[in-house]
This record gives sequence, C-alpha cells and structure tokens, in this order.
Amino acid sequence: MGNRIAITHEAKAKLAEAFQWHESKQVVAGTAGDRHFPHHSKWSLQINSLSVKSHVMVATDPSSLLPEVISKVTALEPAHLGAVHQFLLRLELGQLTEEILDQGDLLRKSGRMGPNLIEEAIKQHRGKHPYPLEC
Amino acid sequence: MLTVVIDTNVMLSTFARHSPTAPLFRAIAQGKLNLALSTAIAMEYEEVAGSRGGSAFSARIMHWLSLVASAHQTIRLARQPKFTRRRGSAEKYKFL
Repeated sequence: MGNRIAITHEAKAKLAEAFQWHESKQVVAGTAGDRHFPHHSKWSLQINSLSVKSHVMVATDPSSLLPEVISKVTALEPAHLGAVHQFLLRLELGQLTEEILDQGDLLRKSGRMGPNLIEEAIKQHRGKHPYPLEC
Repeated sequence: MLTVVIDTNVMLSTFARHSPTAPLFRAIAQGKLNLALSTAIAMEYEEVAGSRGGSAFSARIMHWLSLVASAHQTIRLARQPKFTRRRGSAEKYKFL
C-alpha cells in the first residue's frame, strides 16, 4: 500500500510536468485531465481525485525488464548469485507444481488417473520389477 | 523435519487440487517434508505416471523431483528399501 497524500490541482500539474520526460514509454497508468502519467517512472503515479499513491518502481514490460535483470545479475557477487539461483529454482518449482496439479486434474476428469487404474499399473510394474522381500 | 516414504499410489493421488492428499504434494514442493527416495521408487513413480499420464507427464514428475532436491535439499536418497511381509491385512500388502 502506498502513502496517500492530498495534493492540490497545481501540485498535480507540477508533478505531471516532472514526469513528462518518461512519457516516451508506452504504458499509461493514470490520467488527470488531458495529462497522461506513465507507468514506467521512478514513482509510479496513480491519480485518484486529489490523491497520489507512491510506489516503488516496478517495471512490468518484459522487453525493458530483461536487460535490467541481466545487467544486475551479471554484476552480482558469487554469494548473491547463488541466492538468485536458489530463488529461480523455487520459482520454477512453484510453477511446475501448479502445472502438475492442473494436468493431474485433467487426467482425473478424463478418467485416466482413477485409483483402480493406478493400482493396476503398480501391479504391472511390480510384476516386472519385484521388490526383494524379507519373509 | 519429518521424513516420509510415499507409496506410488499415494504419490499419484496427490496430483490433483481437490485430492485429500494434495497438501502432501504441496508440503514436499515447499520443502516442509523430507522425501525418502530410492532408485527403485523413483523409477516406479516414473513408469506408473507415464503409463497413466503419458511420457511428458512422467518427465514433469521427474523434473519436479529434481527441482525439489535442488531447491530444498529435502530428498533423502536411500538404498533399496526392504519390506517385511507380515501376516495380517491382505489390503496392506496388495501390491507385493
């Protein structure tokens, strides 16, 4: 949640001018009158009547985000690089977990993942590859 | 942290959002449980998942296991597990 501060129309116009240099960017986050406030700016502005929400900048356009991320990663120290790698692994794991759950749901709905079919497949597998038993 | 061995039928039943065992799958994915695994068990997961869901599905499961191992170090590799057949419930040993 950003800090909400009340501003006058005049202050709003000055803010708009201050951020004009960013207007070459394509995404528009909010408008005030005929002025457009770009999303990709140091402080992303959202104009709600007479208030401004200030947020830490988050670029969402992948084409501008990717070079920024790459330049930051290449400048990292080895210890930090390990942490980034760990983060990426966990991100991939989370995505794959959701994908497997989606696919499992589809298989269940199609009747291919019923308990009886799974049991039958296990019996077939163990018939071919029996576990050594201690009797 | 708890270490669990998950039988293949239970593991495959976790792959569904509304399954009663789905929290088990998520707990392993989040590194909240150690999963004991031997080569034989992993191969069985792979083959049974492949026979029911196709080779792409089983490849995903194996990739998921390798990611769990890399991201959380919670896969405990075991040598060939030994099972003892005891008198009692036939249901318990229905796969043996």
